Amino acid sequence: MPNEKPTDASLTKPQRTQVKIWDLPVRFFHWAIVLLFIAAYVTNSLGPTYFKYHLWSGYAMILLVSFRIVWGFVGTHHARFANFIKNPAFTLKYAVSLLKKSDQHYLGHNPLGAIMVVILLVAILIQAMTGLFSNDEIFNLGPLYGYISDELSLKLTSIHRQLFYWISGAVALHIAAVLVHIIWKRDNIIKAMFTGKKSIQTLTNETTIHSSKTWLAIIILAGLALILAWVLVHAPEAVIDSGY
Amino acid sequence: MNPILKTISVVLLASASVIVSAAEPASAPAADKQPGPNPAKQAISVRKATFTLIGNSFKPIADAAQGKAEYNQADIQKRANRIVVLSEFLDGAFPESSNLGEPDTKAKADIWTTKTEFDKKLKEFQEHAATLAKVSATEKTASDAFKEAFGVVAKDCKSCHESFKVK
Repeated sequence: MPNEKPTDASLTKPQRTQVKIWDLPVRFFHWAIVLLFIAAYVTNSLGPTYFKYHLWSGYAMILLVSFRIVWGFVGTHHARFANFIKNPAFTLKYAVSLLKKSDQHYLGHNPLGAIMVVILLVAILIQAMTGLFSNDEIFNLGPLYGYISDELSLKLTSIHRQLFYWISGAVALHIAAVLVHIIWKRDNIIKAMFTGKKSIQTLTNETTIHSSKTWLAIIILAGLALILAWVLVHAPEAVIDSGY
Repeated sequence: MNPILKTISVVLLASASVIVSAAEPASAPAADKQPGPNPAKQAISVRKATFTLIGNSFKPIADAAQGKAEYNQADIQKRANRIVVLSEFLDGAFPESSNLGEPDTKAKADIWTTKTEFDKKLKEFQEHAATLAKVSATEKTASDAFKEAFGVVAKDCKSCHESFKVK
């Protein structure tokens, strides 16, 4: 926490201090998901013989998104859902205040950004989960295909195919909103999502973090990986070759 | 007119028009409604059956190519030859009348609006299937040549589905 005495404003520029907002797990999660989303798209486009890599991208995303959801309850201050998700009335008031340029500045996610966080987390999780049960009607089967009927698998595959376009739309909107925010509010949140730090002029009573609690994140991630591995290993065999 | 009679006749007229319009969906093609053998529906069931068999034949080839199963040359050759024959069934399986849309078929209307593109893709599939059969006759292991020939056919499946099969 910065604790310098205020200096004489007439002699020097106002002090700006760097405060830490985003822990390492959140930052790692964010950029890993970006890369994995691209990887999932590319590995699917490469063709049916690269399906293995598409699966791996999906597994990684299930793990990371699940982790982020858990982290939203036990992580550092600005990572916790309770600290940035607001009720609809409050969020609407915030949106209006933006237009009136009387909005409160947020160090972490602002109430509108919170909506996008929830949308993307839920959508990507659904996307990856439906993928587990999907089949490409050529020869690739999701690892949990053996649990369900072919008919249900096709329905889930259809969702998986179409949801991609919705997620892409949300991502485009997210990127646009981030750019508008940076330009309009002169608040470089892309840089902040890399370094974890923002520079502030006046001390606010908003919390800044001291430690990333990375050790806790690693334990949670390892636990989730074990669960996923167990589920995959115990899935029933999908296809019986009858010779025809 | 007596208000009660008026209400009853309005309700009757409204019901009649709803029933009539429900019984005559505007987009139903004539072929569907005629009695007797239906060439459109027959084409649909032929191609569905053909694709099922192609898929069944292709799966063991895919397993061998991806190292999930042993490469048994006799078996692989048999499957590859079956795919060549099956692919011929597709030539007559897409008549214009079978453009019935869901739920009858997952064939997109694009097949008929861009017929040359569809025909080209079908031909490529047939040619690449023939190549795969030829390669499997000479390759004694899951060699690079075999994997390549297999990969080309797999891409054909996906490419056609991407353009012409409902998602």
